[in-house]
Amino acid sequence: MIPERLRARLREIVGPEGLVEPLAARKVYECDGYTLERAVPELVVLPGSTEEMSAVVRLLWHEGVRFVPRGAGTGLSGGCLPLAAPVMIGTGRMRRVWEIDSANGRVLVETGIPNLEVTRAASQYRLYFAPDPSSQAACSIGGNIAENSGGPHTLKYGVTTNHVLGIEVVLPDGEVTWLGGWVDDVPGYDLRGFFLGSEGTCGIATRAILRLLRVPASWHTALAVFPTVAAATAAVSAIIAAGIVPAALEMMDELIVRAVEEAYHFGFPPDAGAVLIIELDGHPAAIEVEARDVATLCREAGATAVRTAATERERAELWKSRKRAFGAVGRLAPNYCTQDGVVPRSRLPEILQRIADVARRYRLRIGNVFHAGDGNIHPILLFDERNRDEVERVLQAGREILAACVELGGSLTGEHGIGVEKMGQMPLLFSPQDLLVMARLRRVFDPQERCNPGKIFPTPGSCVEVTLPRRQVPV
Amino acid sequence: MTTTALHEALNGELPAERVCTDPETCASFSLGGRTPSFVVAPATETEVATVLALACKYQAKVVPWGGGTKQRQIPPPEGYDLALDLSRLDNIVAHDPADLTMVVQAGCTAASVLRLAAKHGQWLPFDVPLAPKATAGGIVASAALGFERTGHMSVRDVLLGIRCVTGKGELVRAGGRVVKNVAGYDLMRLLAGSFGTLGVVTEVALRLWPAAQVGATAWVPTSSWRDALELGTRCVAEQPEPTALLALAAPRGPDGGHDTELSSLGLLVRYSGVAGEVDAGRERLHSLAGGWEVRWLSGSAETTVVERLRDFPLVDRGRPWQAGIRLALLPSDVVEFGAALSAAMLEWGASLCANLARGTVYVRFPQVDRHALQRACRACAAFAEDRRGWAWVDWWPDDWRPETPPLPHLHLSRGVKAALDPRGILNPGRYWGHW
Repeated sequence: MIPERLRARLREIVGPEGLVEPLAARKVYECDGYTLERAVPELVVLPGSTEEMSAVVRLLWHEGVRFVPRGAGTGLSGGCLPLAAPVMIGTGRMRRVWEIDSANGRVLVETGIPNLEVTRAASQYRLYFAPDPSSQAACSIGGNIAENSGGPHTLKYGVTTNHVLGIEVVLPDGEVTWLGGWVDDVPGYDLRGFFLGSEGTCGIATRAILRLLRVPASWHTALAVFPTVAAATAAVSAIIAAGIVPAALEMMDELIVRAVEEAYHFGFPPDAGAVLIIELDGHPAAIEVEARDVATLCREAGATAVRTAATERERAELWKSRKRAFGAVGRLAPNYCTQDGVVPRSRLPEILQRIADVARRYRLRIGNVFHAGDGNIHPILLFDERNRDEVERVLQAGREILAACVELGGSLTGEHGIGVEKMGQMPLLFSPQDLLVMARLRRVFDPQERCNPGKIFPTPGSCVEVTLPRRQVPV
Repeated sequence: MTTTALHEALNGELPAERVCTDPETCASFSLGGRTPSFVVAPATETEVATVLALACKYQAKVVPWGGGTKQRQIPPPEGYDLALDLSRLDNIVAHDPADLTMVVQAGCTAASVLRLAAKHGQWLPFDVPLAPKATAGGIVASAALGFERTGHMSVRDVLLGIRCVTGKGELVRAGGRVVKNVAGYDLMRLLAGSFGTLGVVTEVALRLWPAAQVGATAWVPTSSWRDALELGTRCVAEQPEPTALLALAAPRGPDGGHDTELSSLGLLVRYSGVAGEVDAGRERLHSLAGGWEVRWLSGSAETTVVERLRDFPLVDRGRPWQAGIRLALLPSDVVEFGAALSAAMLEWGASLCANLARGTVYVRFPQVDRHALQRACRACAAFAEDRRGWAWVDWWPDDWRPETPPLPHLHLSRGVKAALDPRGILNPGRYWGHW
């Protein structure tokens, strides 16, 4: 129990609007997009500035109270689940844009700002922030930093770590420090790079200097329809082998295409085995050549149709079909759960075959919508949560798919993070020694392990007993 | 540490030919007047771990050594018992052209990696100074910058995974071999630029890119460095963006003599990509150049100029500099640096090279004039500090330590050092003198 004395001191720091106390209000914070485990925090603190954040954290440090940082709560691996920590600290009130340096393509923001707001603020200079997770309208920059988030356009532009130059961090003892800065290549250890993707276990990011890119001079978005998934993956390989790096290369399989078509009538052929959305951007001269090559390569791989978006509106329609895929899946089953795994691009046909085998063995329906260019798969397992046997099969199938990803030379997670969801599977990727060294590094930042305890590293007692699949959420 | 005890232990654990005590060989690994007692050249990762575990036990001071091209970018060691020569770890572990990934051991040279990639129409930012000698491990350890980069790519941006051995002899890996992966902490970036003070890199997984189909390189001689900087700034603001953009002012050769070559003052502009894009770049450069003559280079003339600029941070036309400073600035401040300080720098005997897309400036001295060097250091540090940038000595004289500005977040960095190399055996004193 948090003593009233501590509450009063926190209230003094952040003001009454910065404390969330009633149970009904705190319930909102009981989980992120991973809803399998829930824990209502005893208290939620929402500092309004770096100074307030620092004072709050310092106080908790002195009192020996553990805490969990939280951005917008759109994470998908339980990274901000308030397990084993009574206090949650949110960045929701820290949303200011401090400065835009349009000449050098830099912006200084508070980390509670939603990802898309950064691009909005920069758009008057024809600049934008490249990482674009599907939740970008809601997810915060701080959350993107914690998870090293991706998105459909990471194939060409990279993930969050490639676009963050500096991070102001409140360390777990309340000290404020800058990691990195305004310029490339700061001398000394790249602790900014280390902090990125540390899932809130090394401190709380309060402000960040982000790199902004120039809006591409032109783009070209096309949709290619294939009779089979194998033909579509062959096209992906052919495009990459031809030396073309599209801005995005997204795939949907038969199950998903059919669901999307039934729900929204985009005009996909009913017999399509798979579709690819291919987006190219850059100099018009380059795009023209690449677009022609991509169309040819798709046809050679067996595409039955290649459609090009002629207008911005048609382009938006194409993306809508991809982004609404998850909504459409809701028509197929009462529940679904999405996995996040990675394989080398060339192993896509194998992993898709393995997923099909898993589906057959476990008597499940599994659809696939994923970032084909990166080899980042998102199998969607359909089920009915009232059927306990089916639930059990979904859990087992999910684990098997991830193990297959690792076996094929891939990873447990491409963009959702380990959080609490995949802690138990970390030993598939890392040796005990690897994990021990990582844990030692964590204690440099947080000697008492009070900041986001019980995440990432499988320690005795911290393993979550998984009994239900995660809720359905878009990737 | 007793040298004999360590020697015996090494001989007990490793094949005899791995350990060399020959004075001449040891002398070739000397740094700042110190010569190691042994040169150990492990042939496997496990042997690297064995050597470091023993070095830790006997508290022997170790200098990891790749191609030896960038040892002077950090201060000379404060203790030096053992040179860890990684040149035998030179296997290409995997190359999957279809996945655009490559896994190489630390001792592979940049040139060999680039050559293999090129064979498959691929590229990576390993076009670093002295690429024929520079090794993958050294490039990562020093976060070396390449000559040409599409967008903002550096070595840090293409590191997918790493295997390294800590100062306790622990073999650790992080990341993986796939282009997208967020499992576990990012030790790749932590090790990149740590100059062998945290661990010895044994293997790296790298992301490759399709090579440009065509390229065009121009040399624009100007009458001052400022003119070159101003033209460069105009180029970088336009599309297509050049893939290399370097302004050079090298009035003195590395031997200190006056350099009258026309190619010693001007701007190098390179466009690469598909034909139409490069053609557009050519046209753009002509319209931006105004009165300056644009010389399109080819054949050996192109190679000569490109290699000179690529190698500039370390050597000029084969001869090493004696001292140097690096500035990391906002790109827009590079022109201002030219206006405010280039005249003084040139007068103090420096040569200058700026990467305008990235905001990096190299100030290089062919001779050590302590007075001039100290003044240049202070002037650069003051300039950078006023403008959100950094300036630091990144080419160390052999026998003298200039003042160097404070580094960021020292207490955290110290903690990281203690976590990975608790007995301080790796490159002692070389983290800018702090440890």
